[in-house]
Amino acid sequence: MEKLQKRRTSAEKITRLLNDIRENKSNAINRFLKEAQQTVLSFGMKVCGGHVQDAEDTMQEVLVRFFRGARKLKFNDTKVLRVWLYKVAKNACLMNRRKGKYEPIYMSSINELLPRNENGEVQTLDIPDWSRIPDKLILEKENSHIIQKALLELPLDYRIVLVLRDMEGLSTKEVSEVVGISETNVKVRLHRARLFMRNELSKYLSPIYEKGERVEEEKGAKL
Amino acid sequence: MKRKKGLSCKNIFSSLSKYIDKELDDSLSEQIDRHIGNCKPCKAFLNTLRKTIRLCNKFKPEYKFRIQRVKPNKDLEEEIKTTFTHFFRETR
Repeated sequence: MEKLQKRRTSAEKITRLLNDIRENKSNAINRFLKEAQQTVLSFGMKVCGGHVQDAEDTMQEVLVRFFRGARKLKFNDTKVLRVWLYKVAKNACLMNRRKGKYEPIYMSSINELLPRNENGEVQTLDIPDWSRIPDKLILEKENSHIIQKALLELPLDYRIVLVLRDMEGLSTKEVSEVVGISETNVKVRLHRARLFMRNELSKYLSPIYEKGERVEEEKGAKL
Repeated sequence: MKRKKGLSCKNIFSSLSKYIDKELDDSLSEQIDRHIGNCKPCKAFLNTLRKTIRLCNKFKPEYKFRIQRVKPNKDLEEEIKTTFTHFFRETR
């Protein structure tokens, strides 16, 4: 297992910059604007797919709405602003998205997401452990599309929860505030979305892993 | 389906996200630890689910800006400053 690296999420960067603004640090507003644009654009791309123009249009709108709305917020905790930014981004994204020919609406049940054999029976006898493939190899240009592709196969309600929680780094409570559902519901959607993503990635990564295993075995045989 | 020390593989699957996020009570978490320690397929499933989450953490969509980023002029900067001053007024 690779070590879990401590990375700063988009949400953490936003909070840090908001704290800099609160403390009147130099150039903090410009740094915040740059990061907010990056965050909103990236969020839009993940949720709405590969339409850069849509994401860019959304970004402009979001910043205007964010600043207008922020004046009306009553609390002075930076987390409130962070939730507000994602809430505005989510709403703008839903309003502006181009509905594709195929937009998934059906979400598999937990049972359907469990590992099955060729006959469709639930079984766990042989699950390739492709977690051993290095992250770097999967996130390389030619492979990284599999994550975006799997993401867009998820129904929107599930996709937004997964993006906010596992990609943007918001807490369960914050996701529930942005989306407007209970924390329990966030957890249920998140679990199903993660299982779905794992299954989609498995289709692509299991053969790569198994091929690598065979090569290793052959190498071993020669020794 | 296998059944090891009280928990079936199917039971395990429904709790894996909470297990990964450390949201389960100690007793259930320990039962899952024990099951995973004895069940190779469940361990592979857990490893690949963890890996999926980590890949999501690290994922960045590929794009290029086609328009310039917004650079605020003096007026806009003042407006933004006012907004933040208003927001943070109670802590200043």
